[in-house]
Parts: sequence; C-alpha cells; structure tokens
Amino acid sequence: MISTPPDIPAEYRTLSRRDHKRIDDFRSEGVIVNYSNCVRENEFLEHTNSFKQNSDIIQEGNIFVIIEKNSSKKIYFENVKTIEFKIEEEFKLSNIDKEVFADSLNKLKNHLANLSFNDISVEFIDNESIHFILDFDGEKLLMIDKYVNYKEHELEENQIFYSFFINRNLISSNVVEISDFVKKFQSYITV
Amino acid sequence: MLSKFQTLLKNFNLTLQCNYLKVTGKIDYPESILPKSNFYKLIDFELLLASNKNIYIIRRSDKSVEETFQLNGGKHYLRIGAIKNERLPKLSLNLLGAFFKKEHLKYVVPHNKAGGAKWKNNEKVSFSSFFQDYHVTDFGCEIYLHANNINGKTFPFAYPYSKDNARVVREFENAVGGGAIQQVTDPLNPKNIYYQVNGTIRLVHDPIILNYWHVEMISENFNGKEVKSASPVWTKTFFDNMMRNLIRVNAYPSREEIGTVNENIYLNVS
Repeated sequence: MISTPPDIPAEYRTLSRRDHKRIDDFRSEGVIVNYSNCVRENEFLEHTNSFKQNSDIIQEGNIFVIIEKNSSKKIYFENVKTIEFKIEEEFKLSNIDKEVFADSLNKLKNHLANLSFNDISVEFIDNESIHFILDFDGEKLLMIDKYVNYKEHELEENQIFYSFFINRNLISSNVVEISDFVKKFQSYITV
Repeated sequence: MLSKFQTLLKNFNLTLQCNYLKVTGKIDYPESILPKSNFYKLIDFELLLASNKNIYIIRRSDKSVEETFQLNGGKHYLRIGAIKNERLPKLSLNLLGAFFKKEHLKYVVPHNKAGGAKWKNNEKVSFSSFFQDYHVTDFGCEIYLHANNINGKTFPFAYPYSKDNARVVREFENAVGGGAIQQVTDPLNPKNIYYQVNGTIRLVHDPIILNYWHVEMISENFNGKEVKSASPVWTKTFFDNMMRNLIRVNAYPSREEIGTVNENIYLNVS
C-alpha cells in the first residue's frame, strides 16, 4: 500500500487492487517510472484526473502517476496542460461552437504536446479552422493550420498545413500528416 | 459646344463646392497623397526594397490592438481573424516612408468610386473632381508590415499530381524547357505523387486616383500565375494560408524606425 504524501488531496490517495493492475499497465507503457510512498527529489507527482484527456495512455481514476523530472512524459503532460489553458482562454474570446472543434482539438493537442515549445497560442476561425503558433528557441516559429471540415478541402483527417519560420523568414511549408511531422520536427528541434 | 460648356460649368461648380467645404473644414483629405504627373506610373518594388531594408507598408484594423494581435513568446503576431475576410490575393495596403502617413488610414476610398480607380497615363488629378469619392472611418489600430520580409518570399510546396495539374506543368515546361519541375513519388506512400514547386508572394504598386501609395499583395504559383482554382481543392486554401501566415509573422502593432522612400524611386526627373 502506498502511504500518503502530505500535499496530495485526500480524494486521490487511495489505491484499489484494480488500480494496481492499471499501474502495471501504465508501467508497461513506460508512463510510470516509479511509485512509492513518497515523492523523491528527482520525481514529479501528478494524479490521473489531470490527464484524463490522454485517453490512450491514462484513464481517470485515483492513481498517482510519478514521472521523473524533465522526462519527456513530464514535458508532455505539462504541455497538455498549457495547451488546454490556452484553448480555454481563446474560447472565452471567441463566439464559436466548442463542440465543432472538440475532436480535432483533442487530437491536435496530444500531438503538439510532444513538441518542446516555449510558448503556444491558438485561434479559431468561424467553426472552420484551428490555427496554432508555437515559439521555439533560436527565433524559430511553427504555425499549424487545421481545417475541421477537411473533406471540403479534399484533405485527409490527419493532414495539416505547416509554416516554419526562422527570424520571421519563411523556411518551409507543406501539407503533411501530423503524427509523422511532429516526430520529425521534434527531432530537428532537439538536434 | 454646349456639352463642353456644360462640362466646364460642372467642373467650376465642383471646384467651388470643394473649396467651400475645405475652407469650412468639412473635408480635410490629404491631397499630398494624390498622384502627380511627374511621378512614375509604377514604383519598382525590387528597386525600392534594395534601396532600404526598413520599408514598411500599413493597413488599418477595425479592432483594438488586443483583438488584432496575439502575444506569443513575448512577441506580437497578427491574429488570423484580423485578415480572414480580406481579399487574398490583392490585399490592400499603403506604402509608408514618403507622403502616406499612419494618420491617413482613416480615409477610405472605395474601389467602386471614380477616385478608387487605377491611376493611368500619368494623368493630372484634380481633387475637386473626386472629393465626394471618399469617407472617413474610425478604426481600432494600425498594422505595420515589413515589406522587405514579404516581397519575393517563396514557399516550397508539393503541387499534387493530377490530370489538370500535369497539364499546367506541361505548359510551363513547354515554355521554359523540360525538366524544370521535379516530379516526386513519396517513398513511404507510392500513391502520393507530386511536383516539387515554389509559390511566391509579391508586393505590387497599384496607384489609385486618390492615393498614389496604394499597394497590393499577390501570390503566384510556380508559373507566375495567380492560383484561382486547382486540384485538389486545398491548393488554393494552402496558398491563402501561406500568404496570411507570412503577413502574420511580419506584422507589428507599432514601429519606431520606418525607412524613407528615396525620391528617385517615385519621382521621374527625366
């Protein structure tokens, strides 16, 4: 049984037998690198309710997910939260139908959270398109345009437009499949 | 003879009316921005941008700075919503650095008025003939665009293989020579065949009767033609997006240093 770290809300403290099974599943996914009765200095603690949007990896429940500081998973989860915050901020400014964007946003968010950006902003246009700007070190800027009604533009569901700038100069642009693009772009950015 | 007299009388009346409105302060159009017969018909943008690295063009936004720009990484970027309804290509702009000043943005000259027609043949413009062809508007903020970073920018993109697009490529290669455009097969998806080409954004001087400093932004496909419709449908959307993104990245809510347009760029002394 895991004892309770002092700064964790009570509703997330209890683990059931079923949770242990799921923790094992998560470990097999490489999500949980450690779980113990306290949070050590080199660990970052979160509970799964924060991550319930990441349905491929973690479901909601009373499970502690402990991730090493600065691990890619930690960056990923922090990025997810940042993107969610920016999306909510923008929703407040826009008169748009959230439901129209929900599915596309959820997928985009999970892809873009893999990128080690410094800042991100989002904009919605007329229940039709989503536009992200991501800021990176070295005056690098990535713009992502996603059309919700992709079929009308003869695009595939997972295709996006990207424009990549360095020092405000357009370096590259294209129509790409997002998952593959994000992997390649992140490896380029981290070189 | 009668008709000529009537025209003269009409012009005389218009001049009287115009002068009265000017004297009483009811109209205050900046006549300094009108074309003059000793100006070049068109400014050569390549020459202009080569002469100064800080050339800016300006347009107005109906919205406030906060609604027009978005902060990201401590820098301002134009919101796509600020230009989503604008005509692209042929975005309407004004050249700064000579006679057009940011204070002149409030004067609107509709294209369907005689004063909004193209200025041709170095014709002398008499303001009194066009003083009814503009109105004054309130606006939210200025959008400054760095012309040097926009004009002539190319964006590489995959022009998809299709029957229609193959014909366009063939026509182009017949004109410039075969092999100018590379056909590529995606190694990961052999069904995905495309041509590797470049689109280009250009700034074009477009003087109108009531504003010599009017400029348009256009986009061209690899063959120098405007992209109107293409197969697949996203080609046009993609072009518009690239144009918008290039604008967004090079847009500023204010500028301290604006390059001067040298006289030899617009004044024909020969």
